[in-house]
Amino acid sequence: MAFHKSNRNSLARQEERLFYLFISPWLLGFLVLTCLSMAASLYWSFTEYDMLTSPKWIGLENYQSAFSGFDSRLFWQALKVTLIYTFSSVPLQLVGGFLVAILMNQQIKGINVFRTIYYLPSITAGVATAMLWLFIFNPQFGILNWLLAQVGIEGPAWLASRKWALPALIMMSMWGFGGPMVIYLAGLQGIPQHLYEAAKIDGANAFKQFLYVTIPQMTPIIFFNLVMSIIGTFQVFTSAFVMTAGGPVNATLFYVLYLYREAFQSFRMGYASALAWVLFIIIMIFTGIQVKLSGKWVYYEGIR
Amino acid sequence: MAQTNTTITAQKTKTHWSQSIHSLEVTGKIAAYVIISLGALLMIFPFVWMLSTSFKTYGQVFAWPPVWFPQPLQWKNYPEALTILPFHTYFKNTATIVLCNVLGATLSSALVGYAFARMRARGKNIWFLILLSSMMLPHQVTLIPHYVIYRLLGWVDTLRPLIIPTFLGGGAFNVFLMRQFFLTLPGELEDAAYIDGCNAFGIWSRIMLPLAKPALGTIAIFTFMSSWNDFFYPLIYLHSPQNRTMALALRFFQSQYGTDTHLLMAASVTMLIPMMVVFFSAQKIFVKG
Amino acid sequence: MRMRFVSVLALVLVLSFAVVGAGSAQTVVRYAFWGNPSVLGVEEDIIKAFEAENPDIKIEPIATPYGDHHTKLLTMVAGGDAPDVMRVDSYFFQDFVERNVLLNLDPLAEGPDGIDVKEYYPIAVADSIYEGRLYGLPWGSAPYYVFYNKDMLSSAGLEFPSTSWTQEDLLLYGQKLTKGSGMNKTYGVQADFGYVGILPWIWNNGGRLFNDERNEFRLHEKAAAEAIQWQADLIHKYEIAPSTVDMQGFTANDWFLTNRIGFVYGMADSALYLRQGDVDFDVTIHPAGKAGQWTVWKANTVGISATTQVREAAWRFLKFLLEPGGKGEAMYTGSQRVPPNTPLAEMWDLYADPSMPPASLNEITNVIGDGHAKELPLRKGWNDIERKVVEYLQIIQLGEMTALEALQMAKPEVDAIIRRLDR
Repeated sequence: MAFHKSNRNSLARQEERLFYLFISPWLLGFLVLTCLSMAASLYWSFTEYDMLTSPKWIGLENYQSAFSGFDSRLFWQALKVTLIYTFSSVPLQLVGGFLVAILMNQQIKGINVFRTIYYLPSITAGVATAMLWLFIFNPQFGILNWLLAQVGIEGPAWLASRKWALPALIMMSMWGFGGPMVIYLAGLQGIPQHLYEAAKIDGANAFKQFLYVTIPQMTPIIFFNLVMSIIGTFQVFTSAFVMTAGGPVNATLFYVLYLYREAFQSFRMGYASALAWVLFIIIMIFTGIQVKLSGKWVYYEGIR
Repeated sequence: MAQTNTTITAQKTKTHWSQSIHSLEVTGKIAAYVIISLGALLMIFPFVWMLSTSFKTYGQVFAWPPVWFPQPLQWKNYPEALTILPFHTYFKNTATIVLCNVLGATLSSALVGYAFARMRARGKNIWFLILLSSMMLPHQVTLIPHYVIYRLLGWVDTLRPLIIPTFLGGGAFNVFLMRQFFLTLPGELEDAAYIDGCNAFGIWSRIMLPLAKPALGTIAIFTFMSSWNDFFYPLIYLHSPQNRTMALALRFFQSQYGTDTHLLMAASVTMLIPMMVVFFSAQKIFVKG
Repeated sequence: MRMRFVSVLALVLVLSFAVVGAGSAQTVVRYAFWGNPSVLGVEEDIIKAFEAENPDIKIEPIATPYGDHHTKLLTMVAGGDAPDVMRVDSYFFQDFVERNVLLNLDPLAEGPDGIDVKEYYPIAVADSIYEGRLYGLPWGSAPYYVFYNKDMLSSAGLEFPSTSWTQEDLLLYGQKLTKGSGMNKTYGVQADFGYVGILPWIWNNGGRLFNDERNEFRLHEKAAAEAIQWQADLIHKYEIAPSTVDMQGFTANDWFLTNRIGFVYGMADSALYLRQGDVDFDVTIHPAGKAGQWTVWKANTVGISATTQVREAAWRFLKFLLEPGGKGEAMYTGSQRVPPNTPLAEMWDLYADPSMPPASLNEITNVIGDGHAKELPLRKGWNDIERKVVEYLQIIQLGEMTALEALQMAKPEVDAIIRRLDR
């Protein structure tokens, strides 16, 4: 018994050594690059730092300024905009991407071409797409309001309107489902065929197969897309930067756009670092919640 | 039209059960086609607009109503856009970076992701959380420390800051993706291999990697697309004109007081086509034919 | 045996130092600037010409697109890797100077290898001076112009504006040029709500952005608010200028190029941009208001890093680049991309091609330079203040509030920003 236990311990230790060996490339990069630069920005968040002269320690002042002081109005506005955007566009992208992936998984002729077309908007360089969307959303000449007019609706001013600018950017984000779609597609290939056959034998129709085989088998991938979309969307920057510059009147002031301006236009790297760490904590909380909840709904075949 | 007619008649004359299932499948297929094609029209729209703009004259770009089929086509926009900035010299840099990144990201994320998915170790969950957390801090605030580190290493104005980091884990996104894929594989796989006398590295390379082909293909494609399109890091770390990448060169077309839209679009289409070809031909890696 | 080994080793060392020494005989000067593809070529040519004259100096260009230039510059300076010679937009100039990024050039400019600063347009060099000291040489100096579409004016039977025109004239032009409705509407004028573009209107109405010390916001005063309200009225009351809603996705320049707007405003770069279209247009000075006829003159700066190790070489290059009437200026203006910094006729002959619109560019620039130009009220934290003010300008532009209401709301907020900046 004693012998058995120590044997098992040495095996466990061996596996542990192997684990560290396998993750060592990442660990090296993390310690040399990521960890150092994260530490530097954490330090700056407690300082007044304009990037050109040495940082000056000011304790929690940056954080206090964001939450309830000088900067609080814009801080809360940026946070509000970002939360609304994240919680509207993430579900749209995830569900949209999943449905399209199911469609794109059909064995029909020319599907290779269709897949490429559906992925196209996700790889078109940012500026070109942004310019196109500006034309689509134009209140007078845009295609969108023309379509609405055909069904008797007078379209709003979209990006020029304080009320509609953010919804317009959310609509635009739906075009970006290509990334999640590809991951879902790859995931769909990993579902063992015998599970479907077994379900057929049990008399399950296509819908039931989808419900009881596809979805459970896909949960690790859905979980991945969910976590990554939230992390990514919280840090969205380009569309507001290129299309609305945060306006009109801060209606599309995304958090990272706000942060970028404070850092590189206002020379407030210390404050921007504090903003970054607040966002870090927020994203961490949301990710933590998802990881906790994932135990209830994500199904892992190979957990050991 | 003819096809729908025949299915309807088939349904009427023969009431055999399997036959009606068959016709249901046919109508289902047709419905799928219609939906997919309508969607495709929406999806291809930006590209068509880019393509059409890339063949316009300067004045046609802002004409109203829009010109969809410029007459005559301004083919000269392409040579013009590609000679104003020597894209062919930048192609070599872009190709080097992209190929190295694809190799680095797939290999190292498969290695690290495998360990996180299928090995037991104390502190594993903590490390995994740390891995995820490295994506949660906006990169704007870590730009300067990164620059300092690369400068001390003597890497600034070389391709190294754009290549070597991808060999160090390949990015948290890819590691996490690999982990999720390895977790969907059955748990008994390694046990059998251990009994057969394989070592850990052998199991990873000979058993696990082949099974992870769809995930590796996905990562390869994502890495290709993102490093092909990335302009920001090249912008910061590269100084010399001969080190520029194509995406960085594209960025120069936007000037302070207006954009040469027709040239920008010609350059964008040129950048986009290789990506389309790569995606089109690489899909069989992650989707069964 | 051992002696021989040591002496061989010593020889190798000496030789290798000699080789290294020979390799580094050239002084390297790193030069950071921005530009679009058509300007990059000019920079390359100037660098080549300089290196041909100065074989002991090698220039390493660091070119970035305008929108990313200052982000990269800040990263490099903060990363302890400041380029030796750098172009700085005047909006960032004082932020850089107050933080000791740029070298005081007075000793160099007044030294034996100096230049005569007086040959520049005085207003052009003003943006490179801080507290009486010179921190750079002007680059791309230009006033803010009014451009008008000659075809549109002619076909409406209107005479082209003279340099002594007034804001009432502009209003009349606008009303006569505005035609049609909805999607086919052509507009008379552009309403200028740019943070810099709005300044001439404010000045000409007797208002100002800051007090003389530039530490208090003054747009809330009646004269300034009135001028801004007038711009809003062009959109909402007179309906002769497009609103942001109409313009979305287009710039005023784009509309100008398709004959859908008669008058627009911009700097010399705008003239170059508009020239690419096939609209016949010309340039004039801003119309006079009740308190005067002023416009903005802005010049960016090329300075030398305060931490450079190659001061003399950097200065030699900077002098070559921007000395009044020098080779660099001739090459810049000869490219017809970068306007002259000097009133020198030979530079203007190179720059302004009379066969291309706008034909009166040289003439009008001299009119403006001769007592109609004001420098920007630059100060530290320019971008910070701009963002806050633009927030309220947008509200006025949308017609949600009157200018006076909005600017009085803006006043305490802008002053608080200034206080924080000056702390």
